Amino acid sequence: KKWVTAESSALKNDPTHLALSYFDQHYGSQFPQNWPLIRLALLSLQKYGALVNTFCHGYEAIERLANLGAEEFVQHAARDLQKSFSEKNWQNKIKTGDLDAHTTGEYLQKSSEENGISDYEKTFVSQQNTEEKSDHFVEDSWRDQYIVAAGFESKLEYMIGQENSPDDPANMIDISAPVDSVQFPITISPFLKCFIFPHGNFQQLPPSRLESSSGLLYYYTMDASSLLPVMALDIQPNESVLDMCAAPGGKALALLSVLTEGGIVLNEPATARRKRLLSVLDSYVPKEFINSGKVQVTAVEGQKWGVTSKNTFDKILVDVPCTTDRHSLKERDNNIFKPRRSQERWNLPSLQEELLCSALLSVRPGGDVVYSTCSLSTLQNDGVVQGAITKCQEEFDLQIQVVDLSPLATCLSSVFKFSDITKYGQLVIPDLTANFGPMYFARLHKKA
Amino acid sequence: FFKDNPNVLRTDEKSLAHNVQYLCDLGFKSNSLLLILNKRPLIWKLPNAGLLERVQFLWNLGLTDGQLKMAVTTFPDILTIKKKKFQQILELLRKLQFTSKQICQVIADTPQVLEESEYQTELRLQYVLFAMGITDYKEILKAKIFKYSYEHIRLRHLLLERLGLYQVPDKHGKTKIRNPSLCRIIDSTDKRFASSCANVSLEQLKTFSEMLKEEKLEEDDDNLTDEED
Ligand SMILES: C[S@@+](CC[C@H](N)C(=O)[O-])C[C@H]1O[C@@H](n2cnc3c(N)ncnc32)[C@H](O)[C@@H]1O
Repeated sequence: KKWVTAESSALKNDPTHLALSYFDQHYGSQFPQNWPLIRLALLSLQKYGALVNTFCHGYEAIERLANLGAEEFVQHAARDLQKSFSEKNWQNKIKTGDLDAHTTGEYLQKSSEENGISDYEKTFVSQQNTEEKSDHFVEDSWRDQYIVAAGFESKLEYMIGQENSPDDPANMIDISAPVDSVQFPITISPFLKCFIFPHGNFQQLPPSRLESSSGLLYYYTMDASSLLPVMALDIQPNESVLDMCAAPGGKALALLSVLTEGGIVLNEPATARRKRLLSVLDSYVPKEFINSGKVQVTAVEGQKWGVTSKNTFDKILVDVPCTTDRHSLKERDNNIFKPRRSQERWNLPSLQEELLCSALLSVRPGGDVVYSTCSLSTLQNDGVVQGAITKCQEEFDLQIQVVDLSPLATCLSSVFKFSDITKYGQLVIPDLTANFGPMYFARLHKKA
Repeated sequence: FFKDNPNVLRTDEKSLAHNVQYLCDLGFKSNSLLLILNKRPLIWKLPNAGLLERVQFLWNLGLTDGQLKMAVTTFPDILTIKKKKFQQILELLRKLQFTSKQICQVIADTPQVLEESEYQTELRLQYVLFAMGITDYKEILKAKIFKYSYEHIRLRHLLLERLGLYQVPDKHGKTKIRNPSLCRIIDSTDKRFASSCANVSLEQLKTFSEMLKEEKLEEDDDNLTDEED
């Protein structure tokens, strides 16, 4: 009998093993209390969600899921979220209103009618960017915080190899440069539905079946936390959207189900990955819809969008390539921790920053960008957000605000475990009872 | 005792009296003796000579009086179990490279090993040797691994390994972290293990155990489909 365990099986150059020791080094200090439990979850059975295909009309598959004990969580959170926004007295806080209030308000009304809630308050704009507030914010939570800037990682890794302290302040950049924070209410489309098994239920989702009438698959199986960036982007039905890194297409499907009238560009430069994306579209979206002109698949490097299509899209999702922490611990194939890919890995934060900057240039003033990764690394998460904001401010004179996503996180806190160490975005951390993620997402608003 | 075991009145009074007397002579106190008799009615009827022979056999193996008493108390079947089965297990333990002295220790501490399938016994030892990388038989004896199921051992090891609290020693027996002793890992209650070894809550330990069951099912499924491919 062969004994295969997480570590004993590891050969010296096994990339999953390299990934684990890298994470031990970096996340151990990043999560001084939580790392052992996060590590445990990452190495254990992952949980999935079944994203319901809105293009199917039958309910059998969903009934089957419900009979197995799975529960829908998105609409549940939507109700809580509406409540939380109407409970707060937002009106008192309104200072400026540089949002496209018209479409959002209309949509709110529409969706609340659909949800049978009519007395929902349509007020929503609240900003904390008055002098004293933002000062306050900086002082309270961001003082004395350091993040290593993009590009320093390779140097750091080298230093760690030399057994120097990675905390050497010479290599740290003070990030306490003030960043505006702003609160918008988020509405969740009634079309977005996802089933998961409740806490402590480790059942696996059965593979999706075909709906005979349409020939489409009933649901797409993905990490349920992948829907959070899409929810955070708060797409209105008539907006124009860019999904800058779209393959294999889980988030694209979620975006498509929300966008009933608008248009979307699905971009993916890697040929093989783009093929995957097309085959996913083929299995989930009717041909008529794909050919309606509303959906466009493109193959350009994400960096180009900011140059070729300035101030164009209402919303952009930038789901960047990252260290894909969970994947890197499980799969040897295609693993970014293969020694021959170290250069590529070290370059990730700067690539990520370029892509995010490109998106910030390409979104219209008054529009929003959601940046997301499936990594726990502060360097790839808050660090990139910080870097991109600074760069966009300094080089392109853009005014970027961070949208506070804590209301969304709060109403999802019974489903996902969120980290409390992030500064700009929200981070779902894997936990044994809710083994989703990691998933970091931050929403940035480009001031009009 | 009579109320619980009315059948005792139907056994041969003489051999019963003899056996009881013999066990008393071996130093069992009446309390533990009653307990043993209560658990194992077979001993009532055992021919006197059989009992003597078995005890002699255990002495010949090298068990001390203390070890003998321990084994009989925890596992009275040791007196009645078929000789052939007994020999097979001894054979197995020798094959697994336990010395005679260690075998006595195994029998004294975990006489249950005598009724386990050979496969199960070998599995547990191999797991500790190869999956956990323990080379010192003394440690293995101390941890009383045969008292616990394979699942118990595997669960505790995997939990610690995934938490980052256990590392398989490399070729030179070195680890980057200090592993808890095998004995602390295996031979403790769930509560104690959770709080003082793994540093998780009892709740989390239970969740992990549930998760592991499902993970095992998944793996078995995967293996099945792999074979079909
Ligand atoms: C994390 S994946 C996206 C997953 C996808 N959004 C989903 O939910 O299924 C990142 C993708 O970015 C693509 N990518 C890599 N470099 C890129 C670049 N320079 N511009 C745009 N996309 C890039 C990769 O090929 C990969 O498919």
